[in-house]
Amino acid sequence: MTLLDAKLKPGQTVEILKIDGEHLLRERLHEMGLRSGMELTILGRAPFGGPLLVRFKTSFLALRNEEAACAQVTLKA
Amino acid sequence: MCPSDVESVNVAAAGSEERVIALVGAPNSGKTTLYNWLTGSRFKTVNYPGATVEYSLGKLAPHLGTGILAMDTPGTYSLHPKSADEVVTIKSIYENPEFGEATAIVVVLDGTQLSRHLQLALQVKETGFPMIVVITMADLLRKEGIEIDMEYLRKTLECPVIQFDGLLAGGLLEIVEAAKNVSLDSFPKRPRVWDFDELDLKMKECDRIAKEALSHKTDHPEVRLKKIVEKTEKIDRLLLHPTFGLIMFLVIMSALFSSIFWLAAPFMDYVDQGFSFLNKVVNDLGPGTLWADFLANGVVSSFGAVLVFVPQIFILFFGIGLLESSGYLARAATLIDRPFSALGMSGRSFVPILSGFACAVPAIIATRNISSARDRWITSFVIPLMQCSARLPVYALLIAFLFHGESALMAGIVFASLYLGSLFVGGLAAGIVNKFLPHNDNSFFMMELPIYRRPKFRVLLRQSLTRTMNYVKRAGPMIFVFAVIIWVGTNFPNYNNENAHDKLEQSYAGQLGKVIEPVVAPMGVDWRVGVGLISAFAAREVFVSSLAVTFNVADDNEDTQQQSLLTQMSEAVNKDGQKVFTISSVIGLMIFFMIALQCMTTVAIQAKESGSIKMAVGQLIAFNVVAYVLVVTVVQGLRALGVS
Repeated sequence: MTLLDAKLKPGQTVEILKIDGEHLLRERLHEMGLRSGMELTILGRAPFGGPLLVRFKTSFLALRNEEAACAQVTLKA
Repeated sequence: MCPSDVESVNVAAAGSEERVIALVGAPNSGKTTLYNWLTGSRFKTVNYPGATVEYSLGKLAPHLGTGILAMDTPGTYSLHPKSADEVVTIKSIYENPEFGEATAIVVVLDGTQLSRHLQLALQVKETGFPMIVVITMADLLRKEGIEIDMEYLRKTLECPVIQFDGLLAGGLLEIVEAAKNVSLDSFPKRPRVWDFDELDLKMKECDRIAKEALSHKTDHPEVRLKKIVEKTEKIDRLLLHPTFGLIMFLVIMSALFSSIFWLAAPFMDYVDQGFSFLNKVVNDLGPGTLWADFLANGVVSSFGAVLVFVPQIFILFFGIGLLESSGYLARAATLIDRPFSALGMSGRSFVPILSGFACAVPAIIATRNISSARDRWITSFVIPLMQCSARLPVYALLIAFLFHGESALMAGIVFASLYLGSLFVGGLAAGIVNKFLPHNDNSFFMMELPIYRRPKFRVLLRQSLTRTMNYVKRAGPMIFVFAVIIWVGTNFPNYNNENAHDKLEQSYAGQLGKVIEPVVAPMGVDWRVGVGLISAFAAREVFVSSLAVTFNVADDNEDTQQQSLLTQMSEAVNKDGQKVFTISSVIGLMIFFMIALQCMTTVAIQAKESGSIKMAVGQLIAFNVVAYVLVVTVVQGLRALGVS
């Protein structure tokens, strides 16, 4: 599933399996620290179906749907 | 007149013995704080994740020595730029118009984000630039008992590594010392773009280095680091909640804008009374003389009419600074991203748009942080529609006229509707442009949310004060020049005419006003307001001081200046004996000021930033024509409905 999957609920932790998508976007996600093997905690969604909020290590990130959809993840806990 | 945060430091072409150290780092890593300590500059450039002006260059503060220039660059995650201001970072390092190439690079890393930020250090190292690594957020780390193995980092990165405490400037002298010792015979290469396999490898390496550096001297560093973010996570559960977060957003924004009016009111009274007193004093120095009349009714009145709004401007700058430094502003951008994206913008447009309420100039510059050219174009297109602080004086006067201080609540509601109205008009304009602009590039939003930090009130106060003073300094000469022009224009050629009305009518300003009267008459006003409107194109707030002069304030010393101006306005009649300021004409004027693009500085910045004079001029014409047509329609419509 992707990071955008409706099954994912706030508080859950996922591991990134793979990042797809456009080259520049993938590169930026990498530079921000998102890569396969990383664990992310889902924090929630902004209103009106806005960006997805995640935490990894000590960083907080807001990702739009298109961006979140690029990350293939698997549920950890 | 718009205050701009663009602080240009006059740097003579750097001599050969001058070294330029460029500060490079991710957004929010603490570069600008370090820069301010290094240069002693009390300036902070526009600073929202990634938004800084082109670059700032400054000499070292006197007590730190000479021979070194420090350069602050826009925040960047890598040396492979992806947005306009990241491009600026690279250009300002490699092909700087002032000095060519930087001598050395100070890589600023957030100590709480070590593994991520180390990537940039590795990239810089590859280029061969002499490098100094500065680790910030030392106070946060210390509080959680985290000690970084600096010796290990020095060995691994093969360069000086210094911890820096932004609160007390601990480490500053070491940084300067290291900068003085950098090698001058390096020949840096251009940065190499890492492919994905390499990126992966480098990131693993960064992870490893960070882990080693943290675990050598600290037990369970990960647990301690997590503690730093725990509070932020807790607060975010509330502030980023889909419904509750939205309510908080509305409460916070309403609090900001209402405090601009309520909190400022008593201070505005003091300023107003002060100028009334000054006016009287100056008048009494030489009663009936030309020079005393000029000083009191030309200069003092003009300055009084504009400076009375300084408290409001200060509070606006303070409020935005407070939200920014606490970390809330980035959250607000996230909350608003979805509605904004429906209009062709993004959450990142929120901060430039909010800054537009202070001044369009830094706001347009701040749009560089938006990575999509299309989003950026739309955002900077609608920014001039946001109600900048220069409009405050005009609105405050017109609203005071409508309600004569009777109903604070109604006045507040009208103020709020002007602001909301401008958001509505801005949204409408963005929606229209969005429809017609070709969709060709993908934008990514992806934003880092900084951890919540308690704002440092002294820093905030100083910064808001500097920005406010900047506003006054920039507005001052303009006000003075117009005070002279308008005073001369309204008092001559027949200064000694006893009849005030005749004197004004026959004056130069009166003659000019008569020429343009056919244009302004459909707006429901007469030639005197026309003179004010023309002068407002130099700076909106000049409208008020120009009214103050054309309507001859200060001939009665009982009231404060503003009261006196309001009385004059309510008594003013046009040549047909009808009142000039009526409900409909005042509403018309408010609409005009809400939409018209009268600020030439904005037009100039727009042309520069968009790289298109056509866009800037087109915008100037479009906004003013729309404003005029709308005002005429509304005023004539209201009159047809029987509203005076």
